[in-house]
Amino acid sequence: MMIHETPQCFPISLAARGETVSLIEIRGCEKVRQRLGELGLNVGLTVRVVQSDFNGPLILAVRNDTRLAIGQGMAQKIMVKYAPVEA
Amino acid sequence: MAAQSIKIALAGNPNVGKSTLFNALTGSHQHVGNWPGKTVEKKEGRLHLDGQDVIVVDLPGTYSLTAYSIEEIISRDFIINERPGAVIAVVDAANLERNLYLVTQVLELETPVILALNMSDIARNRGLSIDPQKLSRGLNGAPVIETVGSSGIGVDALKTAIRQTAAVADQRPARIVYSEALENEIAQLEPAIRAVPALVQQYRPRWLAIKLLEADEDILKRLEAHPTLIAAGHAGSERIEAATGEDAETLITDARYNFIGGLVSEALVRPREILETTSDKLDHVLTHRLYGVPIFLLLMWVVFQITANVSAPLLNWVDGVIAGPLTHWTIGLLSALGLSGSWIEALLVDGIITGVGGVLVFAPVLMSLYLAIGLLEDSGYMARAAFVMDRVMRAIGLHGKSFLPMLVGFGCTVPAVYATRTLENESDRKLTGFLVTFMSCGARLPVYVVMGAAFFGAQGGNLIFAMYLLGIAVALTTGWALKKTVYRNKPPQPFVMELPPYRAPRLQTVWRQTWERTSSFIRKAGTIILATSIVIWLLMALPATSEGRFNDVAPGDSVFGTVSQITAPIFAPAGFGNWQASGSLITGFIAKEVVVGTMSQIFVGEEEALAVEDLAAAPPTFIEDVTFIGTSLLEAAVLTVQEIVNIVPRTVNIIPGINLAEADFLGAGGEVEDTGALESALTQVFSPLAAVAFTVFVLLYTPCMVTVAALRHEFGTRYTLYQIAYTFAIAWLGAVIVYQGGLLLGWGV
Repeated sequence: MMIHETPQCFPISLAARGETVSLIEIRGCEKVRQRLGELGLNVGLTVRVVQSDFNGPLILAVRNDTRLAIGQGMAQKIMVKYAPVEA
Repeated sequence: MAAQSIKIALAGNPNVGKSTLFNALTGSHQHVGNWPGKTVEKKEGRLHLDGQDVIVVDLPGTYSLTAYSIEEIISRDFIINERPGAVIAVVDAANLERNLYLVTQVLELETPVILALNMSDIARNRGLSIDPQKLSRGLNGAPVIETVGSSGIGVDALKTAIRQTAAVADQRPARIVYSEALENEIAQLEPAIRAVPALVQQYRPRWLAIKLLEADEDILKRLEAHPTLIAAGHAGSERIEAATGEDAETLITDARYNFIGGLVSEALVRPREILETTSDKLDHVLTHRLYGVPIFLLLMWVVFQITANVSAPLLNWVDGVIAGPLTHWTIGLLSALGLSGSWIEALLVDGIITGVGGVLVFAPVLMSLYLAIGLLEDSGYMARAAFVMDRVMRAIGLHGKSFLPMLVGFGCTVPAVYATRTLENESDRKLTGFLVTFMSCGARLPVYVVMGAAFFGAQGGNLIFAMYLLGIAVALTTGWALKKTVYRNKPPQPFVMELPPYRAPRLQTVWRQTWERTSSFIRKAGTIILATSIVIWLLMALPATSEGRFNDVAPGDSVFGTVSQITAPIFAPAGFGNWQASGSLITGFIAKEVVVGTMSQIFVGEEEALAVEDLAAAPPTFIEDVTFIGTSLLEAAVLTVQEIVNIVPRTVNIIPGINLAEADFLGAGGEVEDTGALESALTQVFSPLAAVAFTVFVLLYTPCMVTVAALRHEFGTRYTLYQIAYTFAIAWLGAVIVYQGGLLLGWGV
């Protein structure tokens, strides 16, 4: 679906601090996806990258008030694209 | 008025102040135990509402009610089996959306819900305005109450809501409506479930249908006797996936968040979007790629300064009171009873007061350690420490979350073993459980404090800090080696963790926790350590040869001395092949605190006899004793403040070339040395190098028996035996390397 319309999607591990991106796809097994979902990270969501460093873990701002730390390995499986600039 | 009691359960995410609210509701009428067959803590409390007895059960903090962890299954089973009159869902008002996810799952269990919007003050401060009435309407009329657990706000309203909810017989909790494809499958499964009376009796059919479509592991196992239902559920989720291109679980999660989205869009008004919170700004610095680790180390350094130096004056005071007034009051009392010089006097003074007292003096040290850990936990920093350490942990094939049990291990290894449960993957858990024993627990601290003070004076804090670092280093190396060998084929698990926002620590919570942990130490002193002290005194009073007489034998010739002497040569290569050292290490298996207690009994038991004779010449009067207790406490208070102030120069002085003067309030001319009887006796038996080797051994060797029991309970007998053998071997090696290496470098003098 959406994946085909957006050639510029990339793993969130490459997003820089302060950038806002929207989630396109979470790769990996069902169990991991379900767990991320329970913690508030689902496809279609817009998240802000609070902390990101080369090859380290990331901090994401999810659903406004939740802050999630995710490891580098996980971050490479979360595909995102830049969120449209809101008016 | 119903004579029967009502059951109410408290459910909520971790870190939402559930325990504080539980305390506010039930006051002191609490019972803390374990869930049947599990080691997860179960807290139960009672309250009376208009003569109605209400039992409040605090469910474990969870993010969800899937079969993901033991805690989740416990919570879920409780709601299913006990059918509580209501579930109070405690949510963090400042993190509403994510917190409501659990609430949707409680609603699916078709149980009456009372929503407690906890920490509503924080939400308000952040400019969030929540309309409880609108929320309540969205939840089909379930009561919604704003609470601030720490100050008791909303607790009365909560009680009223319990009363009202329990009075209504026919509850209709809000229902989450799923997408058409899902609802069709649920509608097909439900009649099949209803056809089995045993299932209808226990489960709500709709809930069971959803679980079957989700392929919930725990439920599939429990329904093994009904293969047709499982097959129907499986076929159903396949059809859903074929029709929608999404798996059933994702659709179910989406539907729950849609429900939440609808709820929140009505009831929650945000201020004009503040993108960066203060907490985020702090995270830019505290979790930074370059500054993160140094800041973490600096904080740890300050923590150990506090435990080593700030608590020292108070420690000396307790020591002075026990060795002085308490001891001669006991002797005075006994001589008044005509028991002067008897074995009872020896048991009380040399055995119990010296042994238990020798350990009790460390209560101030542990209290300050627990206070520091509590402050770090409650401020939200602990989770960041895991984040910062993720890089390091990944090098050994674990992720940052494994570092949390290790941090807990700084307090006590037993909870650290249980804290591994937050890890999802079995091999990660086992590996982490293996490593936590190397984290220096509070009980090992007294040994470093004594050795540090005896041999290094004011620099004792450095020895302590070095031991903590060495523990971390050995843990990391062991982890790395195990990951390369035993756990070679296990890929690292994904690292996902919630970071609570930073906040000012709530002193009440921190203090409560500090006191609970410290008092558990004091209780241990009253039980295990008391018993060990008596046994050791007895073994030391029993002569090993027929020549000696009971209670009149040199420690070295006693049964205890002889057994210790046999084992002593094992430690000769490490420089402490004396019977006193090996004897205290043997007793240290019972509890690490006992190492110091035993040393006091061995070394001080003798000297005290001399001291007592001195005192007999001019025993201080009662008034003098009381004055001593008072003035020395005052002095200790002044010195404590001085040591707090001195953290600053000591920390700055790490930088070479800077030498700030340290505060000296009492004009004692520098550090007030603790030249306790034990410390001066130790310098005669140990060389400084041997003392360091001994400390290294105590850090690394076989964990205490309570930890061994916990490890066996969690990971099985074989694993525990490996652990015991490995820790002993690595401790021996470590101590020998330190001692022999030191000798080679010419430090042995």
